[in-house]
Amino acid sequence: MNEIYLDNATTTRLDPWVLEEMKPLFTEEFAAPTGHFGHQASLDAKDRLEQARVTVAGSINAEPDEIVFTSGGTEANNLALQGLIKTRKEKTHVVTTAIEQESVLNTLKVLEKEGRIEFTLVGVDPDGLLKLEELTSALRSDTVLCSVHLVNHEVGTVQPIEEVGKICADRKIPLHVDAISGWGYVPFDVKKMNVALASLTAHRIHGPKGVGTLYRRKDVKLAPLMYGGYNEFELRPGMENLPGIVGMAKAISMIKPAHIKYLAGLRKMMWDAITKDIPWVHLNGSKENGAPYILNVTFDFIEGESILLHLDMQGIAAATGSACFSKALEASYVLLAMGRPHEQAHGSMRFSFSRFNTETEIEKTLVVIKKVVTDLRKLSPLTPDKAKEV
Amino acid sequence: MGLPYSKKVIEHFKHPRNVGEITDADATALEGSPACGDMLKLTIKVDEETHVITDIKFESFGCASNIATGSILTEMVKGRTIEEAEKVTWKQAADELDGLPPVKMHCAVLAIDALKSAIEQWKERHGLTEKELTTPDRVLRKLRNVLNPLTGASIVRMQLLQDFDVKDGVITIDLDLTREHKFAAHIEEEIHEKLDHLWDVKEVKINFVGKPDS
Repeated sequence: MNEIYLDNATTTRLDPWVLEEMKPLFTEEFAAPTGHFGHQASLDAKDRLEQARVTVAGSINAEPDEIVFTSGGTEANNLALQGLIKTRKEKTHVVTTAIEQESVLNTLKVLEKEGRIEFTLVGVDPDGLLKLEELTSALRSDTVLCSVHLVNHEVGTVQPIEEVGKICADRKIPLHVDAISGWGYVPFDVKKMNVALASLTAHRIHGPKGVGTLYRRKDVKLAPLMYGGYNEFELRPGMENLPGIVGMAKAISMIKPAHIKYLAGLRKMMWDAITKDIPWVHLNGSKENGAPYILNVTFDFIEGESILLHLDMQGIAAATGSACFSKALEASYVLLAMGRPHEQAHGSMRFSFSRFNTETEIEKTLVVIKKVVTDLRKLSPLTPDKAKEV
Repeated sequence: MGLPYSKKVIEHFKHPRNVGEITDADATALEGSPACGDMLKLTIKVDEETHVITDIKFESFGCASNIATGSILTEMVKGRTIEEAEKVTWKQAADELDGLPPVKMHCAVLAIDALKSAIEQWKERHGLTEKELTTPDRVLRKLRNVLNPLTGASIVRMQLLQDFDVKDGVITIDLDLTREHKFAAHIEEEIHEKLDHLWDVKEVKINFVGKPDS
């Protein structure tokens, strides 16, 4: 068990207050939220379900009947993309960016393989910001969907969704936003940003795992991916995960502006100390347009898995974009798309914070990082002689 | 669940032996590349009379298993003759570490390759060997050291190597894999790493001829 957890962009701990909110729904209040003519227990459950829907809708300025509860962000992304393409008989076109999450990219790859769509990947600049002109020129007369994430999961860059929304609205192309890494952390308003579909997940904001949301604007037609009962506007059959849904609503309602400020403070503290104490480092991401809780750094001349393992042995959990760490032995496709050379992608480390982290933890981490980086650099054939002594 | 590494791997990762660079080395080898995220440098001192490796040091840019295999190899061959050291296989290096996960076996291959190039260089300098021509046999020997990360076994043994040809310095390789295969890019990189640098090779062409979903 790690004492210091800095991998909150992978998943977060459940807030104890969220757990308290969920508990009775496992035990006394376990009835199914069936509908208008059930027994009292089910009517009560229905109330809890609809209250949660109102809360989640409010968090992104949507209407409650635009909120479809799912098993998580991956299902929400799949329902948005596959669900929309399923309503089309003809082959169509989708535009997305090169640095989306795998649940978007791999879904599009399968749809392409099945001959249902063609898709265009829009490139990003060295900060990880999508190129708006490239996106504009990628849109075609047969483009039926544009899918852009709110915050990049690896480097934390916040995409200009409002601008993308305008471009799409002008051409009447629905915009899907994978907001999994941004919900609760950066402003997100589906009306103001002209968003047609959006994916959210609970476990990244101190909510439970296994529950998420697809926001679907009323005018957007989707087909379900699974068949069964008539739950969730006939888009998502199956018994509602009421404890999870209520937990998700509680989790989003607990995030306060002070938390965001605190996270941004931890991020700044860590980056300032790294740049002050350790030479040959690069920020991966955007200084001005970065999410407050993600810090991605490359330490030159050394490799990420070795750094990660040394940190782990000191009780610190983080993540790396190194090939050695990936299931496909490929360096981070996000960093490569940002134009980073392979060796910088291999040496990248992602530290992601939560409101449960303390400044003392960051201080401890900095001491360990400095030692680990120095030790590994002494071992590396790439380190210039002058850097070995630092 | 613990880490997929043996205690010995972790021990060598935490406390690598024979680290550094011998400044007046008799031979130097640098295998791998930072682009692959995997690189090992060896420097050796060899006694001209007895052929005994009197000193060996390594430097590594790579993951835990890269560091550990570099470290263990220096221990395994220090004090032995180059003729003995040449016979050490990547399998033996991995065994000496109480095993490596299949996906990391290529680190042991890299370490052995570095040792072999250092020894080859020393022999060339001492007139003990001719420059070897790149024959089909040599190519096959090199390809035996390209592993499928899924199993840790050679692509030759796994029958992923469908066909190959060596002609006028151009090596053409047909792999029974699709371009989309999860490890296609990795295996391609590994093959280039093994063959591109050979002195009489002009080009290495790799074709992915696998049928989809096979």
